[in-house]
Amino acid sequence: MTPSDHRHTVAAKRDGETLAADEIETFIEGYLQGEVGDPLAAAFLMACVLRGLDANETLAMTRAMIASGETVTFQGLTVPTVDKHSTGGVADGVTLVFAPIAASLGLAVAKLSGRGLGHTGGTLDKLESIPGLRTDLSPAEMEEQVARVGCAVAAQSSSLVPADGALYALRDATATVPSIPLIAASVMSKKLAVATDLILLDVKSGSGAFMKTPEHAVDLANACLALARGAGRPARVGVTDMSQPLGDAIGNALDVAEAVSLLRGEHHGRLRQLAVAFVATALEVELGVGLGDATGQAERAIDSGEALERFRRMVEAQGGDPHVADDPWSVLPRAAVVRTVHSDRAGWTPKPWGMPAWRWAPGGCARATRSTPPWVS
Amino acid sequence: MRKGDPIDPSVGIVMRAKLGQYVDDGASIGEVHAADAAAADLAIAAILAALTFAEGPVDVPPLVHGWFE
Repeated sequence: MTPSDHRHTVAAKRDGETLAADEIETFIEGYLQGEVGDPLAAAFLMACVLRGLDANETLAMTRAMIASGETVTFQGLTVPTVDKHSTGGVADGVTLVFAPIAASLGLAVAKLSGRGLGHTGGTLDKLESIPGLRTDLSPAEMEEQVARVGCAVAAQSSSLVPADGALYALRDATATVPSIPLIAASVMSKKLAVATDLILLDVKSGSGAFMKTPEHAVDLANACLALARGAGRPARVGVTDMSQPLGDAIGNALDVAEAVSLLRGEHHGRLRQLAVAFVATALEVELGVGLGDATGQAERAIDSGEALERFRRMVEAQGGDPHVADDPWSVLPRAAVVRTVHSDRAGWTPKPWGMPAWRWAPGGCARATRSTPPWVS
Repeated sequence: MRKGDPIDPSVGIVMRAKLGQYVDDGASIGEVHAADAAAADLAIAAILAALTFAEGPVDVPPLVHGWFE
């Protein structure tokens, strides 16, 4: 390829043409190899934002991103493997409870998680608040743990889709983030690079989410599903509300304590409802259980303590103190100062505080980074 | 802050006021867990500034808008 070929690709997209798969793949490869510089890549991304990418173009971009790194397979597992991913929101602790509930019902949850940015930190940060717990499992360790315990939540390696971090940093710097095809490619490249039997996506919509309206969230859901189909991978997407945090807790140790409370059957709010809904969908797709029956199974897995037991075993397998499942605050780090917040007005709360309030976090649990998309978790 | 910075896992907020709920002036609506008193003060001020109120009841969106395959 010559520099003028890459410029031709950008010019074609600028003029609204549809690019061939190999043009897109060559361009992305060129960027990752340093043959295409940031200015041309930024122009390309802006052309994509303004002109759009059709399903084939988006799939080509996703494939090129996957090809930038390693892929993960779990060949030794005999039960269906499920991956669950949320496009991010405030206090989304669903994964912490989804994994043990699903594992207790005969599914294998092999969850590779990114380092979140954000308001709450990601699932990894939450788990790592349990003393001793490690998330740097190798693929072999992860597979062994999933075979034995039914679930594992580990950090994705930096060599899993390195293109995503590079492209996201450039998009963040060039006002090219809000594009559904580009977001779908970012989300799905990392899901498709890990070979599981079912991909479950929770696309959030609302004031606390990246997609502000259900209509936009449905567009993103459909774009992600088209990529899954293109890659021959079964997937289901729930478009769910994030106009307020799902649970009560926003933090890391606080989220773990809330997850334990939920698994002890003490929490009956939206967090539990959503975790149950995702487990039921996984049971329906992978084990052929009717949805009503599957929902009942998930509820019973919580109420019987089976899911809590899986959580305990997962924590222990990853080196964490299993007593967190019995008495979370005997194990978790407590803040030095705990204060009650009293309302200074009266009225109906149309906008509960989540994200805006979170920005204070001095040395708190939020991080800012330019290379992690807001839809990781 | 940057990716990879150490984080304090103990801090955070617990928020009990939910969308569509009526809150009295002075009612307990949550907790702040902070590293020190100054951080707690900052957090409480930010929370109260971020909280908005409606004059009457508001609609709460459904938890699940839909499933897609």
